[in-house]
Amino acid sequence: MVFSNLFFLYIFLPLNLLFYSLAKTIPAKNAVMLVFSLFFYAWGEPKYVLLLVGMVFADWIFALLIENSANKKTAGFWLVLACIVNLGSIGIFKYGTFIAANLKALTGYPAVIPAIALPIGISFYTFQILSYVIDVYRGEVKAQRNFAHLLMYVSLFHQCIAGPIVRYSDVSAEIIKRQTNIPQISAGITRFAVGLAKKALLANTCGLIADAAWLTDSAAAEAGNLAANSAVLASRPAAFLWLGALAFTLQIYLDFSAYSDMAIGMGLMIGFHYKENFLYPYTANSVSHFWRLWHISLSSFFRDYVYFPLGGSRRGLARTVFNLFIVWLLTGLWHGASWNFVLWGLYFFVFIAAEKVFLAGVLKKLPKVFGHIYTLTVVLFSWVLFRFRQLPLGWLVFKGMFALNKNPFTSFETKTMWLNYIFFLAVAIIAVTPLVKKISDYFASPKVAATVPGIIINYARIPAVIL
Amino acid sequence: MENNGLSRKSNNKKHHRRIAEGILVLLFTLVLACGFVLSLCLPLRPSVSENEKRELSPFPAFSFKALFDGSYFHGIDLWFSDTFPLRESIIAVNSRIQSLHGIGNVQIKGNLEQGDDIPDAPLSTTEPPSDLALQTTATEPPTTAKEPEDDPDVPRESFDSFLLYGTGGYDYYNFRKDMANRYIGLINRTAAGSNAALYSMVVPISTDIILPESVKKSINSSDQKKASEYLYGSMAPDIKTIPVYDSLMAHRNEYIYFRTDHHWTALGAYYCYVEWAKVKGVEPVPLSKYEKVTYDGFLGSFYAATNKNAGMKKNPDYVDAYKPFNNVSMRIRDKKGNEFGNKVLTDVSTWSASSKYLTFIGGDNPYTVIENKDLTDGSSCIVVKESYANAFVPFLIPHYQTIHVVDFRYWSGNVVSFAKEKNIDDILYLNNISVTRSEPLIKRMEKVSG
Repeated sequence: MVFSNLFFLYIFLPLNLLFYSLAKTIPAKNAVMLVFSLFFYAWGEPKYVLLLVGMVFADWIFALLIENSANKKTAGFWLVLACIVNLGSIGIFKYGTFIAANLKALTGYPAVIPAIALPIGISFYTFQILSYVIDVYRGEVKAQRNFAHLLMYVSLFHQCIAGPIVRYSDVSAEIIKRQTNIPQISAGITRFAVGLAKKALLANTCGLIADAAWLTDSAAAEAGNLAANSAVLASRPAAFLWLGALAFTLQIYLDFSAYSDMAIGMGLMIGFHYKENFLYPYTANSVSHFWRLWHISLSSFFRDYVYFPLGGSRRGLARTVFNLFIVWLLTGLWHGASWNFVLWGLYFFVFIAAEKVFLAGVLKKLPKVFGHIYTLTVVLFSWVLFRFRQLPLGWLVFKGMFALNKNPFTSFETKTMWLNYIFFLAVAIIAVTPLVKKISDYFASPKVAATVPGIIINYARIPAVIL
Repeated sequence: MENNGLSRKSNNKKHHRRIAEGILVLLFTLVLACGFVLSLCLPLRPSVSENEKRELSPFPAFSFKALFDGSYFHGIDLWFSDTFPLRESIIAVNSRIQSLHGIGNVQIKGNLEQGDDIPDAPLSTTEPPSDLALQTTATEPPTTAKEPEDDPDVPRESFDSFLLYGTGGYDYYNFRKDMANRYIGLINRTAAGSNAALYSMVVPISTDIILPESVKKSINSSDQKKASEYLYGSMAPDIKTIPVYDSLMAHRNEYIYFRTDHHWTALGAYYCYVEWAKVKGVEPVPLSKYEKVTYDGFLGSFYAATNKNAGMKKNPDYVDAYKPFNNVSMRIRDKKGNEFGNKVLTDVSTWSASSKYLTFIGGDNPYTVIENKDLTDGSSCIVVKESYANAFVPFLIPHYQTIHVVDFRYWSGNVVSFAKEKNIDDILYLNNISVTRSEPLIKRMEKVSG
């Protein structure tokens, strides 16, 4: 079930909110959320819901063992064991097939590559629960004694399958004590509606354009069709591939941030405050800056649990670059078990390391606009790498964007497609900038809100949100 | 005084904000509640989409296996959204929104493919495409038809890609050499295996005929004239190929193709019938000899595939049908195996806007036989066809005592043995050119042919 699904919107969410408001005490409300969340997860993964519960159970025990350890050494032992269990589970379920396939290519063994299904959201919830155990080890949070509370936090349907990766420390207080009031619920509804509109009105259409220009994801993933897919992509006019690049760049942000918007919005409706996950990343002026604005809950996870423990940038330039390499290798792998994601991560490593070493200094001296252009260019081409699991296809698209496949620059269809979506693309581009938010904030600011246009605008939000 | 005014103002502001927030929460609750109630109104849920000519996803059958592999819940999701009350209006609203996306009288729908180059020379006889094709078909398990173009029972969800030009749809045709060679191979094999005369008619689709030269030149659709020449030129010399491209081109300003549907009109079919008569060496019946019936308000497959394009709706097609003047009887065997009599032209005046093309020979059925009681010479033919031939077959009636029509997508016989068994004079393969590039259709046709 996804949030933009009709069944979610008109059955699941109404029932969830109804039962939630009928439950009078926080324990009862938590029970409602837990039951709904487990049902939500089981809806997509009837079997692996047991894996989710089992993992939370194991980590619940580990955290208690860590907290009750007599010394740091014992605690460390339990932490290592917890890491092995968590990373082992994600290693098998997410990377098992990938590892086996590569082993086979190298050594001829194993003879049969196991086909392991990837449980929905495993990358998100494993990181949530892992951050909890590490924080307990670091003494930053107290271990949760109540298993149901911990299970509710991890499985909470707002964020369990598509993020943001909410830290236990951010919500631990609100699990036991949280408040709702009309302004907050209203803000939550607005946020949820914004996310839904982003997804349904913008992201889906961007996806349609990207599919038309770059092949559909499922067609491109079909390994047996490599020759046919290559022929199609190699003949695509350059301007058509650029249309695909623009559309996919817009799609991936709109889609992903829409889910975060909806999660944050639903959290507010019941009194949870999740941190922002996207802060208009396409307005960044360097690649490092981009990653401080893009999928913040993931990049901060790697920063706090990998980069800093490795020494961050305090152990000299060579070590810093090495640490960055590790972080970006893992970031790439986290996005999927395929070499293109590894390369995608390392691609960012190259730019971020270069910025650390010298590029940031250069950019500072140049007018700001260069930083923006450079960042957007790097990010746009990164999506080519990201999109195609089969590297030759991504390479063809990259070359084709410069008409290096002996492909034409443009064609009748290309012009037609651009014209067909010209207004739409303009709207979608505005939607990835903070423009609308700035205008809305301006009218909501104390000075303006009291004026007549301010009042009108504030009321005008209502039909906009409802629609 | 001033102070007082300011605080009143700020109170006022807070007051307005409070009200706005309250209204928002109330309305949101109301919207969810209405959606909840509406979605539970089971009788309002449609089960078939007339427009898309398909049955909507049914509620899934329960089984523990489906429950555990997730397909049960997935099925409920599909059923829930596919049969949502008022889905047709929701689709129409969507289509309105889409029309705001950009400018242009022309639109591209679907995902474009790339055609192969069409060889200048015909397929050489030393190249054995048929053997290869035979091998692949021999090992394949029997399949049911994959691309039922206008069958209400089976989904036809979308075209690979088509052009929306003005208020007309134009299907892309991308030549595929491997498929073309298999088509040639199966025709050659059927001719070689049978004593009947074999006629081949490959009908171009509207894209090449109707679109203005400037558009036609610029779009990424293969040259259908060149493709027809390759197909015809590669067929065995004893096969009677019927050149129809030029004839349709000569009449391109007449109403020979629908705009909202991918078929040709009966008028287009008539002009090709004249060409057929020339090749066969018989006198074509003049069109004026027929009584014409017209069914207005036809909105066909392109209309559905554009999610009900508003321009098309304003400007629908009409279906002309020409009543046979002979004393005829027609019998149909449908997909469920039922046999029944039917008129050659069904009165579809009360049928839905999407169903008007079904007037011809009762639509697509595995097997249809038409007897012309005015003839007693024992003359007979088989038409191997998909839906394109439906508008054509009625014109054959004056020329044969018996016409067997088999839709290769649903029929399970074999053309060669059927022709022998029934002592058939002529076999006519009548296919629109898109068939010659479609793997599932070619595969299916290979099964029923030589």
